[in-house]
Amino acid sequence: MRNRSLLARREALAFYGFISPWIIGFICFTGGPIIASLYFSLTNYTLLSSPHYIGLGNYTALFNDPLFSTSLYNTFYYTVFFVPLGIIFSFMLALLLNQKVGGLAAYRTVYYLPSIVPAVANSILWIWLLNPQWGLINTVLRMVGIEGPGWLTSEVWSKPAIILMSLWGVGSWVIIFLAGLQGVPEQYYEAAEVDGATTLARFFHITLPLMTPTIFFTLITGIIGALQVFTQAYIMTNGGPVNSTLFYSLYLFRNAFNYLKMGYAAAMAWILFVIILILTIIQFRLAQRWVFYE
Amino acid sequence: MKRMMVVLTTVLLIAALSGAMAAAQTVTLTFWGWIGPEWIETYREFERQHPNIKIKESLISQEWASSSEKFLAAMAAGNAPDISVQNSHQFAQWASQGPFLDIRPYAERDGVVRDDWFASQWDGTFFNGRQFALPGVTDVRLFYWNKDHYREAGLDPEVPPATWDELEAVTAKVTKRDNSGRITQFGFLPYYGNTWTWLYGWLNGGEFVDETGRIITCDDPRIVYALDWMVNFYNEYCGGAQLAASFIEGFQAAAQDPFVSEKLSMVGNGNWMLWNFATFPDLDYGAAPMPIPDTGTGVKTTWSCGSYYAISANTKHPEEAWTFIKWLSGPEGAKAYAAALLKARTREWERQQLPGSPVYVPELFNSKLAMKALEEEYLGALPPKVQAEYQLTIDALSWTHSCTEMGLVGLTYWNEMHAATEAAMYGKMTAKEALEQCRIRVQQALDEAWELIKVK
Repeated sequence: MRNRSLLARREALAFYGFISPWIIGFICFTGGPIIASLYFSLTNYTLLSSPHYIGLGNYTALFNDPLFSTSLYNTFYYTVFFVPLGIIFSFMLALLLNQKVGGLAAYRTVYYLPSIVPAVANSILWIWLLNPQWGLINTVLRMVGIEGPGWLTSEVWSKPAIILMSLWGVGSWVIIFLAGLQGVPEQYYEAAEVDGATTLARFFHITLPLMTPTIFFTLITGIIGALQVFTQAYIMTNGGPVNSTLFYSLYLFRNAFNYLKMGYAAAMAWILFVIILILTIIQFRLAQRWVFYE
Repeated sequence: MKRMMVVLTTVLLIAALSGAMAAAQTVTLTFWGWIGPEWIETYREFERQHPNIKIKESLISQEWASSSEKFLAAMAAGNAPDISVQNSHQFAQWASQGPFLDIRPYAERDGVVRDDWFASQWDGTFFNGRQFALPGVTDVRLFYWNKDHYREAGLDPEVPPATWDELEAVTAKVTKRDNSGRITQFGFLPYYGNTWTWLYGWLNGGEFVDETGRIITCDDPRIVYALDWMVNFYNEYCGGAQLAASFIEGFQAAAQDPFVSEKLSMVGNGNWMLWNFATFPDLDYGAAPMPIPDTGTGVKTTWSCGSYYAISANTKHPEEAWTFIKWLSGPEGAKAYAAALLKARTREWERQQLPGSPVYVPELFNSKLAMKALEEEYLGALPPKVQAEYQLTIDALSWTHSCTEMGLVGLTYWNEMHAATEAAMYGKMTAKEALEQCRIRVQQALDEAWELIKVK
């Protein structure tokens, strides 16, 4: 009894020892600022002068700010389309890349490559691809007789253009799905084959259920990431045309660094945090119904 | 022997001491500004002329025109560089927070007076009676037209449109369409180039902020008229704003802009284009002031923005920092920078194997003394046509508006005006509605900003 508790204490000590660099770093460089930002969200703060307490003033002002709702709408639009499409797209890619064919390593590299291209370079590349006159996308569309839109200059097509572009970079999700697929035990498929299950049946009754934890993981992290979409709009459209790509983070950034409204921006950050928190809790509740753990 | 040792030691000691003293006298200034090769050459020239001051430069921001997070963070942490380059259109907002040194006493002592500067940018360096910067380089916007296109359309290539009505008439003549009615060569795109709604508002005699700096007036009927005119122009002559935007976007991928590629006959753009045009010997163009509206309120004008050199309030070396910004914004700095640019220009001429000798159009400086020095040195060497154009840009500095007129919340105003223009051009709102909305939003931001100023 005594030995065990000693061992447990030692283990705990080792645990905290190993994790301490992260904890110290988190408290100093992330945790502290997070808590400070909660206070700043209750102030008028230009960053160049000391904060001035105004209670919930920033929050009430936000709910009367039409650009706040515009940016929220744009961000939800992006998330609602990008996350499901991204999951389906990367899942399908992972299935393809899980086949036993020659040159697999090369294929995997090719599909992963876009996700390590720096976001800025990626955006510049897509400005070219989406170019209405000489861009690859509209050239291909023209070949099949469709006159493509001016993607980034049309308020209707600007968000789909950015979604399309994001889909190109789902390589990291593909890796996660691939890892998930390789964790599905081979014997299930063998047993199903013996019972005469078709490929489709095997997919829906073995692969898909066993992949639900992976899908759930990508869904959670995907939504969190998508709600913070920023770089593409910052570089490619600067929020336009007609504020159609003014995403939440972009508007937050403008308030903070262009307009010197740090308190307002901090309030926006906290609202986004609460939105993400609520969405994540809902998903965890719903997950009990569809996520299957072995 | 012993005596020699004593002498030697003494000599060495004195040498070491004087070396240490010289080192102690050398002051190193941190400067966040531009780091292009020509600028760096300029800073080195300053160091040659001032052996006791060293400049340690670094880039202030890639996105200098809109923001500098790095600078903001450094300011907030009390780690600001001794000197920084600031963009004049957001300067008031920053200056109002008190991060910069009031240079008024130095300016008065050294006889740096308003008469020696072009007023438009000079006045923007002041906030509540204190002066927080010296203005560096600036720019103006002009109207350029393609003379070949005029000839093809049977127009007199030497006479640009003087009014908006004439501009419309010319546009109708030079625009080319294919058989299906698609525009293949545009005449003029009001919002393309570097005009912005600000220019049209000012051309029509509008004012965006009242004299007190506290009331936003962008829904002034003259500005509403200007935006209305732009919207109608797009619908009438350019196939709508969206088609035009799409056309322009096409050129983002191309190496040249549509005016240089001769797909656009007329454009409102900055004086920096003269620099660019000179490398296209086949482009036969003219430059003139922008056409003015026929409303009776129209005025010959343009607008200017530019850079300010500001000293941080907590610098340890105000005297040296002042010496540097005075030098950089004045004739010596202008000459050093121009010499470096001319060298680069000559290399460019050789690289592209362009005909004739390099055409070097100097930058516009806000200091009249600097401009005089540049004129003396470079104006005579220019071909007569470019000479006249350069003269026009200098002239324009006396009748230009300043982007500092955007006021205490310049960047908010800028973004909201752009949003209002897009809303009107894309048909989301009428010009009046869009500008009213803009006024309400910017007014709110302005009221808040006035409450938060620290420099009273």
